[in-house]
Amino acid sequence: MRLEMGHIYIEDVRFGSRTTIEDHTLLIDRQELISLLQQEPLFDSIEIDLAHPGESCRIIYVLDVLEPRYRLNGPNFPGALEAMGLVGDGRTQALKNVSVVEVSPDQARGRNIIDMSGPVTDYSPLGATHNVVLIPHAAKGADGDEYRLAVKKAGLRAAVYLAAAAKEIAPDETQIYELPPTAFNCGPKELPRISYIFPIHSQQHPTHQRETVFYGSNIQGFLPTIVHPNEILDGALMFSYSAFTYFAQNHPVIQELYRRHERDLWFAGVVVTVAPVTIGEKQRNSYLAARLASEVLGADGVIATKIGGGAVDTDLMMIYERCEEMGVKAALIIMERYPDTGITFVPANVNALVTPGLTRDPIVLPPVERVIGGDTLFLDNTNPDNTNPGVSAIPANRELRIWVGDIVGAISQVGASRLMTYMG
Amino acid sequence: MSEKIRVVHYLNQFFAQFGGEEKADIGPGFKEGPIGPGRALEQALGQQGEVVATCFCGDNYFAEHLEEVTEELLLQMASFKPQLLIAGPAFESGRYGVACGAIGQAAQERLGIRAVAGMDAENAGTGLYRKKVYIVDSGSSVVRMATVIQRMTALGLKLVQGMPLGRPEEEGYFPRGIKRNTFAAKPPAERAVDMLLAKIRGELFESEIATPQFHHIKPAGAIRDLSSAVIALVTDGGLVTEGNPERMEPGRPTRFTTIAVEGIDRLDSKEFDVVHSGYDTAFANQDPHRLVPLDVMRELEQEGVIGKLHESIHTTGGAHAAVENATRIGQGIAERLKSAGVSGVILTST
Repeated sequence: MRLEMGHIYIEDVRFGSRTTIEDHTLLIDRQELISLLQQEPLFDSIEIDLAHPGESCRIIYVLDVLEPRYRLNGPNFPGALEAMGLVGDGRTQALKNVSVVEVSPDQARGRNIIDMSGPVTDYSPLGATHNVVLIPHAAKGADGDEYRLAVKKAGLRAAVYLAAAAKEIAPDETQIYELPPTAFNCGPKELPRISYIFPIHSQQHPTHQRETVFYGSNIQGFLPTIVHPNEILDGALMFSYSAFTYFAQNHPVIQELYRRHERDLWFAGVVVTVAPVTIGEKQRNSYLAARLASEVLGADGVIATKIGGGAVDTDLMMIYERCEEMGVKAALIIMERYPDTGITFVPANVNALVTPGLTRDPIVLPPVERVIGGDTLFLDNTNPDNTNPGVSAIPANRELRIWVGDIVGAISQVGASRLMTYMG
Repeated sequence: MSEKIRVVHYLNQFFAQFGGEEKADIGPGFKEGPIGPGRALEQALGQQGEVVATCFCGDNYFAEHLEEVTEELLLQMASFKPQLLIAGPAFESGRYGVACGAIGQAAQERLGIRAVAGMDAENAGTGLYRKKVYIVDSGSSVVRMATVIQRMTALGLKLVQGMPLGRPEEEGYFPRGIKRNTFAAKPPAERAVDMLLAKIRGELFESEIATPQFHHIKPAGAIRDLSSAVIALVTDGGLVTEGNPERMEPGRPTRFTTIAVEGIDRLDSKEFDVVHSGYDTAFANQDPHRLVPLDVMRELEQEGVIGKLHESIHTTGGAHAAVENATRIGQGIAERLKSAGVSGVILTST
């Protein structure tokens, strides 16, 4: 299967009288986009704002981030936005250097922050993209969960709407993602066959009944399955929490395996799984995922990552152990949280861990001129470790002391990060 | 020009020029200005600082009177208003190393100043104090004195000035068991693929995260007669009384609390709350027995299966606890239960 990802490099984004791309500038008809998104009955109103690289501007309460994409030969985000269908083949237009940022006021997400200038830009690629920020205000009496899902759907809708402006535009560059069917995906003997086991969610925070995570499925009761890596890159997946969909669309592990395919490894495919909550289910999913990689994809080696909190570390370690028992070498990418806690669940034989960084590492963000997403944050600015209920609100434009992990895109569990750690 | 940083230097009897092992019993004392290796220290400080005083003690005397000596030295040290304590270097000398570590930790904690010690990797003081005090690797040979003092000084100045420290191997100190971020030359996915390919080829590779070491805890013996046993309920699932009046932390706990249940048969959801940042608390909030089975335990008590249910539930929120805090919370709960004559615990987690 072959996916041609057309990269259209955008150098500026402005509001204009119609939505179009002219000479690498994306012009947005603000009113048309607002009308499109406002059809959602759970919204009272919706604002659209722009944040540019280098601006003294902060975006807070970030829910999800997407890269604008438009598929020329099939449905966009099937099952979640458009009618059911398949993705990962044909041609897709991608607006590079642009992000759709969803904002939803919820105390817990206040600390999902993007600054468009200052130290944040060293850590996250999302401080360097032109950000189209959606601020949907909930209608009176709207259910909190339903509203959150509606905001995420609005994000998908906006991402497709913006990239549709590139329908007729010849890409600046085309990236080809192509792998043959598994049965013919052999490669030369001397190249090790590497698969990726990808737990896309941890049910420790259960998905909502109507949540559309994978091809529109709420992934409750999900069993490990083989997918084509192109599907992940092309809109099959929208993360539920703890990860931003931008990094599924630009998945670092899948892109790295493609980059080195036929060079020093053979990309032997992807197994998608979910971290369930009971021991029996965790065992079952890790057995099945490892078996698919080992016996169906014929992998010599497996990279695995996780999404979610500390509970899913156990699933990741089980996947590692099952793979090694089956004779498949494994390496894990696993995020570290506290400087003094470490990773709690590491069996003695687990010897290949890569860290995308430590989330609870304090960072000071300088004051900004403008804040998008709200005026205040619930934050103990003397001690970001303080999660006590009743932390009072502070103005969001002032100097903030937060964790590196609070910066959207600084440390992603699928490996989007510029960091590593050392024992100091 | 900014004012010079005020430095106090700690030495043992030998380096303070009283004599060798035969003088190891001399008590603590102070002298203004530098002595012996203090001159190298003064040189290393240059225009940035000055050695305002040197404190000293015999190695044996310090070892035998650890607390008194620390107390006495701190008291005198405070009068010199130092900003930095340089202790040693002690090289291989174990008693000297422990003294350097002890005085360094005490000065940091009680005077609020920064401290840097110097020792060999094999020195007993290194193992005991490396997590508390920055200890520069001195090696075993006194010949390296000047170099070691320079490293200790550079590190100390950075600490006082609040400048970011480099990696242990760059600055020359022993890792303290505290993780830090640094920018990487390659992204994590590339490093993971590199590591995996090295592993498959049978080449050397190094995991970026070491396997944690835990103390082995010997389980208590089985309860011989349940029908006379006092059983307690303990949870790290975040059960609190309604409204969380004690402000129990929903994550990263530092303490535990108790809920009195004497004469109570059921946990009414109107009277209790669940606060915990690591799981969906909706189900436990609907019916707290899903978290803490008081109802079933009361039935077992009635039926005589157990002797008695303990009068209070001990509770904390378990998400992301620092191992040190979790250990302290666990020990605190265990001590209280033991002194109350409890012989068994039902521990419900999430």
